Amino acid sequence: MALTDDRPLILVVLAGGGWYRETLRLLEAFDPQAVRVAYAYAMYRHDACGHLPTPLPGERCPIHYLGRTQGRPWRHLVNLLWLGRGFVEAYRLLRRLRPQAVLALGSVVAVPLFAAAKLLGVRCIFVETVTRVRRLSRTGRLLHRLRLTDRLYVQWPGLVSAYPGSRFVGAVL
Amino acid sequence: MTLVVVGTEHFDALVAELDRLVAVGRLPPDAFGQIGSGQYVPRHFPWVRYEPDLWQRFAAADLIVTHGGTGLVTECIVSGRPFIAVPDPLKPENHQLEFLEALTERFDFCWVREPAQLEAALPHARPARRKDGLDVQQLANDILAFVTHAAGG
Repeated sequence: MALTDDRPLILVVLAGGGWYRETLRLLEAFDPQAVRVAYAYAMYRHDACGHLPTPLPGERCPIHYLGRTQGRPWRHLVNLLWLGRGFVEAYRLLRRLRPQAVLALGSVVAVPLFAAAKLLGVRCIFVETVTRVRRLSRTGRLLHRLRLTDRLYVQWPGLVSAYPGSRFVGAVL
Repeated sequence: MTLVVVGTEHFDALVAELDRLVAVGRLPPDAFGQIGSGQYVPRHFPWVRYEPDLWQRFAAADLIVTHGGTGLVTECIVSGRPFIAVPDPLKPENHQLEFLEALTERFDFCWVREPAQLEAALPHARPARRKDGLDVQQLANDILAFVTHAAGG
């Protein structure tokens, strides 16, 4: 069957470490004839995410990474500046690509991306990492509190009652 | 070959314990380490900080010792090789411990709470075996249905 360009486009956040492996598991289960993907990758450790292999082809677009704040209080200020920069980058990216949805698994890059997507009426899907069993991650809690998600998936059933509106329908592991 | 892997960050206590076990002969000398940004450098086996094709070493490993991060634990499960997972207590909100505890509901596998328990667990290393019928396909289908609906399909 020939692929057509009217397939919906999902902008997928591609972050490093375990989030990358979880995202990969999810993408491997997508029907490539049902959807197109593009990637917003978090600039991280020598740009490694820009070169990571993925099961579905798609354009790769960088977004600035927010660094760790643990034990480095000064990083909050740096992160605030980068958050603003990431928001502008995300807004421009979404205006250009015009995806039907943005999808992020675990990464804080979802915050500026989802904020910009909300402004532009793009659907926001966040999948909480499978490592979070009883409480959402800081990114998950922030997105939930700010109501920046149209779909919030959790990977453990116990989280559904703690976070109204979240869904449990399966897991990457 | 024994493979110790810690992912994109570091877990010095785990690498140091593996180094000790090789030194005292509890593990064979053909070990290999991926130590991330750790300060501790193994003295008894070769190592790298990061390796893009690390997964290729999984198939050749007789035993994999990994931190409790989702990426490497997933890779260990998928590889079908015997492994032992150890949570890093310094991760935010100790989520690796919480994750491994919860994962026992879905998989039969070997894990210990701290590197000091590794030696006693060596005879119990085994490939993971699925215990439930949960599937990533259900999650993927639900996301695709939502996106297709949003696109007016």
